[in-house]
Amino acid sequence: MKNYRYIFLLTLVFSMVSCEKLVEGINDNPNAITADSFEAGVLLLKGIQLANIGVQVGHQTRIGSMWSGQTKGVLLLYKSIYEYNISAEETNQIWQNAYQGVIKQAKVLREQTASSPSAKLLSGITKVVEAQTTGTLASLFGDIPFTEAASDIANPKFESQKSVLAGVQTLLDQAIAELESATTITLPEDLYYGGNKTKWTKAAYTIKARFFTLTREYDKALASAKKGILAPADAMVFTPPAIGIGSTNTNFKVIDQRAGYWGFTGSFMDDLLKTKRNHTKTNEAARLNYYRFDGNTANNNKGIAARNRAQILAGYEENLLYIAEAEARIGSQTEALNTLNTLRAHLQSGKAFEKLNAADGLTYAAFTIQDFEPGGIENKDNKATGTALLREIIEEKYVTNYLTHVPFEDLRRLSVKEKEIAVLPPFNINSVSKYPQRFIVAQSEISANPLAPNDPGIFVENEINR
Amino acid sequence: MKKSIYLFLFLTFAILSYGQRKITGVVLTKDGDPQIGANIIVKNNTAGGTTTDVDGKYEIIVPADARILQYSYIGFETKEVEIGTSDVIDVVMSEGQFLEEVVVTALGFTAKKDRSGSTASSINTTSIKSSGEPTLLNSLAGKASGVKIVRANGDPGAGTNIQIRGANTIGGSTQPLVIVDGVPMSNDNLYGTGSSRAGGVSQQSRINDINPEDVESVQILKGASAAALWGSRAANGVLMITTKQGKLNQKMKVSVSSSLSLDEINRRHPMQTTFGQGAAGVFNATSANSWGDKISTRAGGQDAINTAGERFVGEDGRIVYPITKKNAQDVFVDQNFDQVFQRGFVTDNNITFSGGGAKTNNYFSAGYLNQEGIIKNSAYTRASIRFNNQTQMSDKFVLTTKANYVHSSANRIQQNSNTAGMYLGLLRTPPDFDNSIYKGTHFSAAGVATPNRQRSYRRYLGNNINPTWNNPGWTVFEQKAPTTVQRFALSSNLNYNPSRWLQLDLRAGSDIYVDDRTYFSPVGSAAFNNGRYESEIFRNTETNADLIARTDFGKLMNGTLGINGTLGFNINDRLRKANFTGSQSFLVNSTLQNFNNSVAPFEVNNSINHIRSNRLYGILSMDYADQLFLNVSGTQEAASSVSGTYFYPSADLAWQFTKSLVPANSILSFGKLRLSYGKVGVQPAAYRFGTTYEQFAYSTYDDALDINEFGGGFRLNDDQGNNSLKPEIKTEFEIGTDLRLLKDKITLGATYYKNTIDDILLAINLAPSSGFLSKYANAAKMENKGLELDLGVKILDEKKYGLELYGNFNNNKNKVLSLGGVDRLAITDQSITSNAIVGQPLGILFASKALRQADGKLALNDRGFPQLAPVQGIVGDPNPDWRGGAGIRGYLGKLNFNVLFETYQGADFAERTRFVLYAFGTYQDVGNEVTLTKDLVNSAGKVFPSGSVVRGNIKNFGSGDVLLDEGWYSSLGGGLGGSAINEFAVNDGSWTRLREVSLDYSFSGSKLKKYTKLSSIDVSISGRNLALWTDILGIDPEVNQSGVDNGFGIEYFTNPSTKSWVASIKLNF
Repeated sequence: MKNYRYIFLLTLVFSMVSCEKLVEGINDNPNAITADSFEAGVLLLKGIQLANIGVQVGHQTRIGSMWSGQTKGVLLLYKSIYEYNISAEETNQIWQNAYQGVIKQAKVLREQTASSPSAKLLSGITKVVEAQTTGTLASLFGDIPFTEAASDIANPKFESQKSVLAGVQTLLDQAIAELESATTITLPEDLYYGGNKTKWTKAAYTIKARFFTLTREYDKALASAKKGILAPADAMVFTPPAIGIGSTNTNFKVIDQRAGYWGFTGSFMDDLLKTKRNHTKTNEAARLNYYRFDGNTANNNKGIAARNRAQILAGYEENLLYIAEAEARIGSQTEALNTLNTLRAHLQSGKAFEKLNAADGLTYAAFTIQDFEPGGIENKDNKATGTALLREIIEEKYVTNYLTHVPFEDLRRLSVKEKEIAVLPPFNINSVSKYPQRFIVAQSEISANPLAPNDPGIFVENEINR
Repeated sequence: MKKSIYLFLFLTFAILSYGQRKITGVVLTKDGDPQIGANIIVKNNTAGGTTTDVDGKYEIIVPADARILQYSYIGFETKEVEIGTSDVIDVVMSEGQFLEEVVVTALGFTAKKDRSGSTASSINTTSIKSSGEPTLLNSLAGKASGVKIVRANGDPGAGTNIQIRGANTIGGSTQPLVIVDGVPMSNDNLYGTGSSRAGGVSQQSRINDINPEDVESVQILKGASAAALWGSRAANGVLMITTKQGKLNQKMKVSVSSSLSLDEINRRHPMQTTFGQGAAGVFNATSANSWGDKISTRAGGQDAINTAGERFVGEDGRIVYPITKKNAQDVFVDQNFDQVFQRGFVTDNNITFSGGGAKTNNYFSAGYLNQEGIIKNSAYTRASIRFNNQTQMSDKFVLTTKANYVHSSANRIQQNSNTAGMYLGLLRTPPDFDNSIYKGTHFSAAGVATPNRQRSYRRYLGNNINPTWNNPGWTVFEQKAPTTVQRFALSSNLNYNPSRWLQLDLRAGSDIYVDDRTYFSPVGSAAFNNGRYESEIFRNTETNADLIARTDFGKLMNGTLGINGTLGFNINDRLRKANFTGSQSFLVNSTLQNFNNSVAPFEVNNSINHIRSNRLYGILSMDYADQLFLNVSGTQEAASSVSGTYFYPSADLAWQFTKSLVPANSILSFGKLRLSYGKVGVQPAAYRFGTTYEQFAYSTYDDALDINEFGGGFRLNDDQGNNSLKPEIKTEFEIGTDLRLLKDKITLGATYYKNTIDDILLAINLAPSSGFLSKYANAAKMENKGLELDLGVKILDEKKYGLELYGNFNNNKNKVLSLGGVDRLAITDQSITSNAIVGQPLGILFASKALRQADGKLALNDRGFPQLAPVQGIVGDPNPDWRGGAGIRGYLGKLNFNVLFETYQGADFAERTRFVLYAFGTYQDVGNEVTLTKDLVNSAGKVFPSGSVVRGNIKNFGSGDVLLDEGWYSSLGGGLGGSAINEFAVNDGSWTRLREVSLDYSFSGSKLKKYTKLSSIDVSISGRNLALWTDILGIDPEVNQSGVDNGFGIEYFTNPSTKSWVASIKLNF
């Protein structure tokens, strides 16, 4: 009967096995910190700001610059985009930066730091960045997800561009209120301002002015800009540490990676700075040299696309021009002229940009109102004085805000409805008769979100420009 | 644990009675030679068998009630002899036919194929060796129906993609589980941190570490029912590899073999040689493109140069000065090609010893393979040692131990979408540029020298640290990507036979490998201007143990019913640790490969991947009247990455209807019907239960900002966690038949299968506006169905000569049924992606398209040119309508030959290299000149009058002829990114190839023995891939940019494939 012994033994062995117990605990993640065991809080802040840099001065900004005559697409993808051929995949990254990189993380940060002593400061800062990103997206795309975005809703609905931009203003108002009641602390995670609440408040106002200008609410734009960035030192900038290849100026990096794709020489902007802009009171030679970049060899660039060149996200010069434009439109012509001259004095001081070549001319003498009167140096075609002044302010905006979203925003705002004052570069191909008006919603959103509208293409105006 | 109750049930059936007698005899072959080492057992009682000695004699003690003795020997028909009254039984064995073909079950035991209700394909050692392939997996290509085996490219040691019955998962690995002698062996194809599928070097398939010389047979378990015992690891099928074993009572056999293979590129991209570097018809020495002047219109002679200032001095002393006027008419297309390509070769040497005594048998082999690829400096070596031993420790204990050590090393060449890649730099090079000076010293106009500078066609003076993309000479000779793998696999099986009806097997094995990779690019390499040194080490350990009990109750109910049962427990543990350290900044320009020369920032990461599973399984098999065979099995499994336990049932039924319904006759000699059903699974990846924080980089288009360079920080992962993960479950049903006709002259196997894979795990794309980009979830559903046919026709079947036609066919139809609410999931990145799209087969190609009218015709602009559609769409299906293999083999005396064709029909292929090279102006068909016979307009609207000669092609998109020229090819009609109409890069990628040709002859006989002491000499010559018929230009459509991957059908500067001639000789002592 020794056989029964085997049966007994076998049964015992197989019965001892306890399936799930043998694998317990092995799936605890040894590679990463999980969100259910730790709150990252302020550690999320740098990422939010880096993602916003991509939104403000990334691929779409370069494309906007190509479509508004500031730069050229020379090779392969950039050449094709330059010729207005663009597909939805080009916007996947900005869409990810915005929603996952900025908006979602900002909400998580605020939630996790709600009971922190610096809760208000962090909330204010993240709302400013979130608002800048959201407003930029609305400006570029038109209708986008907003109130339902990044809030545990699988498929957020798309909301009208106007309502999103209105919501962005509200978000900025909240941010300002929180910042005003916050205390400044040193915040090394804040790459833009190191935790300075005063500067953050000013930046919030400048961003408000940008979006009010977009929606043609010039009175509000004026009021906001007056509380905005009024000193160069208060500008919101990205200063690349350039310690490796992942922290350089974004334009330098793309040239380095995609040599020959993108260029400046021969662009409308190049031409403008070489010829038309220069007269007895203005010499743009130094600024042209600073703006010109070598699209073939990143390392040759010493000016705006140098490896460690700071990139302006919300600027002093930009803010002055919101004031100047709004004053010229709805306020005092004198104030408009004075503000323009404040900017010119700043340019003349040599502090606005680096003068790369000592021999280059750099002249920005103050304008007088006579310069804009019919026959004046800024009004050779005998327009009304106010129109000529506004036209010069818009042109100065075009030049000053080089490689930001502003020139493309102005082009879309003005090229149809206010041709007289708009900067109108030639079309990049001769088969179109209209400038691109928007970007196509990201392919990743179209594929995953059934509520994404059918995209009308890049030549159809967004709601605010209809 | 309830299952153990069944065991009790089996075991209590035991009826035991004893009583013994001794039978002796001699076993001879047909030729009258003693059959040494033949196995003799009492039928249905594997225990207590014996083997014949050197004289073919045997002696066996059998129970008194034993009725039949079974004589078996590998390669011979198993013979059954009824035990009569005589105690002496002499037997003559004849060489085996398929009649008693055996299959290896999922547990590594053998079973008779004719009794199996599931399907499996076997490939034997002759077939593996005759292919002449240096790696095991490639040698299986084209030999089994429903099994797709393709190598990723022609690089030495490159990975091999195996897919059984179509795609069985979307996000997980599609590669089958590999079991070597009953123990799983890792077949990883890891890309890691240092390399990517889109661009980098191709990585190896780890199972190719196995020396093909050691393989006795490979069995492919295709159906779910056959594989179900492996539960959640078996959804892609199982490859059962059996290694060689010595034989008891066999004197030592030694064989020494050596083979030499000569390899060359099998398809070469045709390039234009008419137009030079430049744009708009004007020469430009730094232009990216070759849309420059017509070379033949140049003045000729030497270029006019400026020797006053800047210059580049090559390593060989040649000096390059700035060109002031291009005069030279030389073209360098072939020279540039020869700079980096060569005739590759493989030498493969093996020595094996095998033999055995009365109680032990041994097999030992040592092999060394050395391969130099068709791209210079690409190489692969593999040294392996194997020792297999089987010892009958007593009547009741048999211990089998197999040990294998492998050392392999390789250098891989950068490829694909990668500015440091070989083909990218080579094929973009203008025809009038000489790549041969690729390294030297740059002197600036002021005389400042920069040594060790790369020179590329866009930096012909080497005046910049960034060459934009590499000179192929630099890629091949200066960049390094070596990998060294050390692997040790050991397994033991202790078989205990305590009683006639019970066998216990305790089997355990460990497979350990260390894969040590480095990547080095000197200062001045494209993509890595400041240099790159990366070290990545994988340590992988897979440990597996089984305890298996088998019972056999041969004859119940007067011998008409047989029942046997198996009960087993398995535990499997897989642990991989990966360490990566990288630096992309060197202090000085040196070839030193050490972090000593690196400066911050360093990239350091490590990861652990640990999955453990355990399974309890049982099989109940019944046979009735020797014609009905039923198997029922169940597996209960728990795995660490799954929440809860899962049950995998299977059942199969075989009915040999020629034993009752239609008695075997002269037309139908054998017929079997099969039915099977089974469930298998795919385990979730480890550590996906919770959402994590991660470090990251943000890029909008090659302008990445990396958090590590900003002092570090977190983001909430863009992949959302999921704590309720289940395995993917594939449920398969199949029905089939195996027929043999005309006295076994014709064999036909036909199987129809249909499977559904539920709960497919994948990172489903979420709407980015939700704040997450993806979530790993059991979200998708997919199905495969198809017909598999295997046919063999013996035209001639004589002792001295024979001729057989054989073939296989499969028309797998895959369809993605759901993706968890998303309509598309990209499996690869880049401009044309391979995707899962609901309602389409897996892999479908998606990219930018041309605008279309409602009727599907191209919506042309007023000039007659297509326009870019704003939204992307489906542009092709890389899955074939059907594929098959067909061949003929035969023998004439000792001369054997085999010819195998393979075909792949109705599949699309994205020729992205060709398409992008249109924009660069280097591909042959954009080097054409046409004389217009009427006025034609180009894409920019310019009209070219009749009679003019223009560079370009004439095409009619639907509204009349138009001129395709530089403007078209460098915007919508060529190039990369979503702003070209990538749809035009997709073409019919069907192919037919002469996969294999082989001829071998065996010299043997007494004279040979007398003069050389050799029992035989085998010589063979074979060819691989000698001919390829396809519409695809310039590349073998079998290559795949992303390598061994679920995504396929795309090529972008992917390293080419090879064709080979192999000669080998084997001396048998």
